[in-house]
Amino acid sequence: MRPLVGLACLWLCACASQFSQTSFSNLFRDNNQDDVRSILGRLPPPAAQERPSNTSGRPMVIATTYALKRSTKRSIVGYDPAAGREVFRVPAAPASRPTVAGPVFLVGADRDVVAYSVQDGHEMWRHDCAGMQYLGAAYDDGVVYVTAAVPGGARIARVTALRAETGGKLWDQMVDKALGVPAARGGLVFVPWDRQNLTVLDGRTGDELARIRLTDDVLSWVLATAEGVYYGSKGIYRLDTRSSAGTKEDTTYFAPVVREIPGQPEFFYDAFAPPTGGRNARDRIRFHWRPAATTGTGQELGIADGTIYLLYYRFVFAFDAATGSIKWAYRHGKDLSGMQVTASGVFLAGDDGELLMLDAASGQPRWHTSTGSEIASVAFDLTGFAPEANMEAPAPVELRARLTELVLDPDNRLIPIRQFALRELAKLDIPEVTRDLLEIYSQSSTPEALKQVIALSLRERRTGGAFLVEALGRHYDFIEDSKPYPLQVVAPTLVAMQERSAVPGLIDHMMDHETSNEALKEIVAAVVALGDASVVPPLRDFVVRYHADSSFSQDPTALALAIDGLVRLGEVGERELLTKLAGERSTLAPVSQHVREALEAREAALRAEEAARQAAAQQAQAAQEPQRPQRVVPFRLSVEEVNATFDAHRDELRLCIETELQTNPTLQVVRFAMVLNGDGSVKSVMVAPGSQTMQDCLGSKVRAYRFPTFRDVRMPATFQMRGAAAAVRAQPQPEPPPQQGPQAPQPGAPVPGQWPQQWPQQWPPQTNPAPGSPEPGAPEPPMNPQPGAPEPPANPQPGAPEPPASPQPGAPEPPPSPPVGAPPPPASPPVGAPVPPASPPVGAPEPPP
Amino acid sequence: MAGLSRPRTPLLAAPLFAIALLSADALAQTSRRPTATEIRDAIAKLQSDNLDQVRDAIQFLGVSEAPTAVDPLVALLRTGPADIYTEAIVEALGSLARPTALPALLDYLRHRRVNVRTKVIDAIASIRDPRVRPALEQGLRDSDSRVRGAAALALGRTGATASLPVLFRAFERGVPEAAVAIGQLGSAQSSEELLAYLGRRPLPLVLPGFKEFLGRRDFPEAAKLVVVEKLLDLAGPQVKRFLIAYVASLPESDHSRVRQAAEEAIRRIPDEASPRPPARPVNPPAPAATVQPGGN
Repeated sequence: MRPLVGLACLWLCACASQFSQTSFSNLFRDNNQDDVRSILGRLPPPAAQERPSNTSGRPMVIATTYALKRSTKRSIVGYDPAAGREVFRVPAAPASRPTVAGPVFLVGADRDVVAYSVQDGHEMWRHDCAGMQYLGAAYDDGVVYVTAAVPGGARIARVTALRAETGGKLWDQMVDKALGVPAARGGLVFVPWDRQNLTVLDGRTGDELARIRLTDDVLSWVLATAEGVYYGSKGIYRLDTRSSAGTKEDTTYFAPVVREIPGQPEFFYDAFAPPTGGRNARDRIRFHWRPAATTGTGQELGIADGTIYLLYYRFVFAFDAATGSIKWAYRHGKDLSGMQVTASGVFLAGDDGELLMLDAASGQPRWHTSTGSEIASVAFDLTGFAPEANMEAPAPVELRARLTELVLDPDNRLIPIRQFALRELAKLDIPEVTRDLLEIYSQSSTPEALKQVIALSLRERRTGGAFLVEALGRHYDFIEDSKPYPLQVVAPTLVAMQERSAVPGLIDHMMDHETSNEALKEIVAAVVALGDASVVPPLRDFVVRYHADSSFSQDPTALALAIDGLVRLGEVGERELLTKLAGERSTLAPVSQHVREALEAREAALRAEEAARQAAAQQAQAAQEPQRPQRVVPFRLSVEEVNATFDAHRDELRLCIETELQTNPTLQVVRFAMVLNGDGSVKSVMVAPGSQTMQDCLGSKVRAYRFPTFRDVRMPATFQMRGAAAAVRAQPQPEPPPQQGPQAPQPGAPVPGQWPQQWPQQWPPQTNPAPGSPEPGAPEPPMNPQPGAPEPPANPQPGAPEPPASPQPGAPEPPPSPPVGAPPPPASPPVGAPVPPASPPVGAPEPPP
Repeated sequence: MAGLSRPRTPLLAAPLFAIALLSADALAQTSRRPTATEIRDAIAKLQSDNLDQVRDAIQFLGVSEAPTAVDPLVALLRTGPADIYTEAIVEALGSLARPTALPALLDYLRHRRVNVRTKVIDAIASIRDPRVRPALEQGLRDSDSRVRGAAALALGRTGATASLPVLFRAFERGVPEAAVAIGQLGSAQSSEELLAYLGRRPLPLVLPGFKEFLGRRDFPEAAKLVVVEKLLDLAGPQVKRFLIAYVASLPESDHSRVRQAAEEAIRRIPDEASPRPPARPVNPPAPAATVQPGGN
């Protein structure tokens, strides 16, 4: 063990001496605008790439072959699709996918990079990677730039410049970084490293000229084309003057909308992953695209045709890069080894050696040829190659049919992408898709994983309900060997679609003994959910028929659902029937229990509904209340407010007076003198004249009255009512003379204009001024105090004497009632007369205490 | 009617017989018609809380041949009684064989329990009504083989010759009882069609059909001879046993050509232990994969 450790140390020490600290140094400035401008100045202006990148100028497909048998030798095949012939075939078993690099194409072989001529396939040179694993290469102006790395995650890598024709080394740098596959253009080499940085080297010297560091993203690849230099991870950055910002927001960046694809396909070849050499999922599950031509300011970025393509084994999808929606889908007969998107179309290479071109707009095959070789990996160099269509353009196939074809592919390796296609199919707003999904579900060969997706997807659909209703017409038939559609899927979907026309068909299946127990639950639930009172009879038949039947002794769920439906949709008769069934001894115990619970739940629901209704009504009333004008609480009540309260009770007061009139027909006016509390209650009341009986009658009633509230602690108030017997049937008059009997006001009518001119000195007896009451002679507080005006205290100050509730002992008694037959008191009683004072009119000076 | 699923107790059963009307068995044994009072009492007992009384009343009414018993039994069936009462009522209605019971019975042809459906098939087969044949044909489409078999046999019993096409389809789909019905209903042409299944279907499934053909007096003798001849072509021990049983079923006085042909065939077919003689080619030649020569 020790010798091995020692050797490793020695090797690392030797390597360390070779590390270039000039380039890739941590001290090198990154995201420097001057540096970026400098290298941009060296790049050729963007132009459309119109020819293959290899120096022969002819379109090439270079493929490594797959050995189906042990006797078959692996080889590398060069195929010229324009000529339709194989250009060369050399025996080789490369470990990597070929990379076209000017006059040569490169493959990794063990720890070497081998260059073969694109003209005839002969080996031109071989470069030793010094124990490292070949990662990839780029070509520019006669020079091949190769990166290699120590396998196993060690952060030791090398970038080497080699003459393309001879393999002669121009320069070589070994760094303690994780380097990726480079790109080259305009004498510049672009090397991604540590998945965050892009170093720009001088192609002649290897000196670092500029460095881009992404501060909020990952950098996984770099691509140099005639249109420009691009880099990125899940999105595309273009190298331009804004690149020095280092952020997505401030650079020229475009991220296509890509849906969740199973297998997490790479957006571009991962520059840091060793190249694959055989049939590998990494090459078979990948996005393909090409950058859009630069337009305008050059700061717009996009994908050509607005389309991003997904290769997934034998499937190809074209997505709208802006929305992520599928434009078209294609299914090939065999797995596909590789793909290239050009302006001419989408080129594919099948494992069986077939080359194919799809129309980029429609996905229809337009051209094909065969290399005659089983392909393991392939490199396309077909830019500018526009073959004439040699396949008859088939009738356009709509996306629905294409996706259905993909879903029905029998290859179980592809179930994840078939599920994806299924979900996309279910999203199409075409009614017939609903039928397609049902048909796929019904096929016995459909895997359970797809059935689950269909079951979920169907419930999301909102079109094609008619097909589901039609599907209900299919029942089990032994002779015809037919089975119903999956009812446990159809029924909930119909509910989701609110397809009420399905009810008859659902009922038919509910009563069909061939309906499975699992489906029956969904069927009954759907009948209840979609049905109205018309489904009550069949539900009743169902419950009655099976309530005591052993068919549901194990799982009575369907019966319970039907019972719920009867409770909800039925009338009193159904509830009585259920109660009767629940009481039968033969009824299944769970059924009896459920009936009781359902009926109790209904009662509870009704109570809750009533409570909710009342609450809603109260809320509605409360909502209306703010619209009414808010009553402003006055300091004291006005005459009108006092009168209004008496008016509301006039009839009951009149009863007392009419009784008194029977014994005292000369009673003319009844006066009330009161002390009102601020909360509107009556603190005390005195009535005069009249018998004690009338006074008690009136007093007891008035004490129960509620007057409007006011802000003062309490206030005096008076009221007068006419008592003339002749006025019982008369209309109220403003000034009824007592002798005008027939025209006299009704008994109990208020006496207008009877307020005393001044308050009696002794009234109210012993009433102290309320705290906060204005001083005599002081102006009354305004009815609507101005904002900010001092508010009189609503409650008496602590320690303030409480006004007596009743006259204090020793205080003068209220005036006695006038004797029967005495003349009516004057309208304006004299000062000191035993007549209770009337409340002062609003605005009048406050009465003295 | 409540608590029909309660088990019958001996304590209740003894006095039941004491006070009962005539029990169903006794009635059947005496072969006398029950009186109107007995029927009325039995109908009343259908509403009894005594489960044994209910069951005995159902059975009694079933053998009473009283048309007035149909409606009460149907009404009881419509209340959804427990399993044993449902089946008993269906049987009773079948015994009464009244078309008025047909709507209820047809409803129960879609009952979720196989026993009920099977008994409904037997019950409706006893009713003469144009609605019966389609219902029995529907039984051939049932998912349960017992129901299908009962339906096929019922079609044969009821002489539903119009159902021959569907019976052949049922036989094609693997309903063996359909062969019996075909043998009971079919013509000489039907026999030819059934003969075509020799070699394509296991012999035990086909022979019951030929047994019916050969046992019918209304079946043409020439067609019977064809059947015997075709069976001789198979020449297996199972065919031999079949022919022996057939000859044994014929009266001694029968000296028909069919008997002679059958006896000749029996002689020509070797015993099980003997080496098989070379079989004559069968027209059409049977597929080797499914043929069971001799029905072994």
